[in-house]
Amino acid sequence: MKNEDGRRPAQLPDLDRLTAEITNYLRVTLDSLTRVRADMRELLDRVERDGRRPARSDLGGIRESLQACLRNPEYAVDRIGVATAVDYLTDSPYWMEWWGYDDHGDLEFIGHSVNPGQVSFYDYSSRGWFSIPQTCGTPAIIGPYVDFGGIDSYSYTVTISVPVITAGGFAGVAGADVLAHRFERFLFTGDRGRSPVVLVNADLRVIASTTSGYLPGDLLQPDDVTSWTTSELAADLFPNGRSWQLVSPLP
Amino acid sequence: MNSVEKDVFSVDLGRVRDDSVSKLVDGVVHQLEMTIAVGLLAGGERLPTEAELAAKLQVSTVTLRQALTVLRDRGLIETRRGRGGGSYVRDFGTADRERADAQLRTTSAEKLRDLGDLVGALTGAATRLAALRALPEDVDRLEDLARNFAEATRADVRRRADSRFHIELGAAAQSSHLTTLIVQAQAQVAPLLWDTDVLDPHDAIREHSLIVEAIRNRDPDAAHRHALEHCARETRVLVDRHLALAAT
Repeated sequence: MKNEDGRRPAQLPDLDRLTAEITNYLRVTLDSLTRVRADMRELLDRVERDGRRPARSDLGGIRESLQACLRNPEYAVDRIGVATAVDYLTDSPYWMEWWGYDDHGDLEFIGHSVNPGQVSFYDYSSRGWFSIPQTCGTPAIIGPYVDFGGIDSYSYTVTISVPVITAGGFAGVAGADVLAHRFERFLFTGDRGRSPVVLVNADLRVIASTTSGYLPGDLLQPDDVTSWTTSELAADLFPNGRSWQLVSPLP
Repeated sequence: MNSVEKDVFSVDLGRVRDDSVSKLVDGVVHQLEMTIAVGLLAGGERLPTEAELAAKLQVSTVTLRQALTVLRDRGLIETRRGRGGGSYVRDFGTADRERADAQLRTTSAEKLRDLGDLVGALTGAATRLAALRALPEDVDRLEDLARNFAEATRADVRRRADSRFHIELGAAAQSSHLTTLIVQAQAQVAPLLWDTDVLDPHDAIREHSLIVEAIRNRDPDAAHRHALEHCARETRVLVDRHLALAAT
């Protein structure tokens, strides 16, 4: 069966295969965060055992772990870091120890406007990637959204995050940023002759798409998709019950 | 005014690594910008002397001076003369009426009009796209920010709230580029608007709520129109105030 473009409608098994790949990618990313979290916990527990409250300089110890994740070819994330609970550190009410790549592909510290006095102050504590792990104690997958926390450039980003909890309680969040455009490549594998596929989040916001009819950032309407073929990503990745799905317009 | 005793420049926030001069300048600008933005250097703090700073950053004083010029142009630092002179991190925490007035006096009507055109183009485009792409929760966020602006009683709080509202329009439009450019444009225009006490915030409060309403109604044409009218009115007020100041 072919439509007017000579394209075959997407078959559910094919969509399911793509969702499995994306699901796997998200799982691997969560694994990397679990590692960072373990290192962070160990580091903070050590400071807390000394009877001290941690300061910004103590977070230097987590850099190696963050950089190792960025260097690990198994993990494909663009930025990774930890953000501390408000007033957790003795010398900075807010702090993001965040690392990524510069234009030359070298690892670099990603500065964020964490100074409340700045016009550009980024109050991350109200952002979903921080507040969901804080209030629900679960991982979160947030976005895509315009990440304007960074200082010199803003990017369309998906953030995956997990809470960091020490003996003393909630200490912050470990998070990984993935540029939204990276999800496009998952949509090209498999049957090249099929009709377009669109990856959307639970709000039906387009993350990536193989048709210019639905652009990244666009919102689909629930009525649009009711008659389409859809395949949901593994629900356990989205503990807030807000799964992503792959949808394919019928021919 | 504290001078900087703490050794904040040794914190590695990205390295200076290219050997061409402009790359070096960019590297120094980037390093200092980050140091200020992440709060390692606070508003009102004095930078070390040029010789000290150049040594800490391992660049020549010529390179450092070029970098300081860029930062001065971007409004991040200012240079004071005379006793206690030197380069200071600009203090964005409090409104400086005198400085804003001086800046408005010396910024020509043509420059203000040009800046107003930019702000209008960016705000208009962002608002139109936001009307197509914003979720109800995005609109709620805009509404909260508009309310922060409406409830502000101090000039500096009002300036920050207005900037945040405009920046959030870019985010609601799902556009990285528009957001980046709006941040830059707001850094220029917001101090002129709000540190000078030129404007009656009631007009902006009304216009913000018209913009938010049009986005909520998913009406891109109305949203665009309200945004352009909002920006054009503020530009006219700025030009009027400039002309009045310049004539005295």
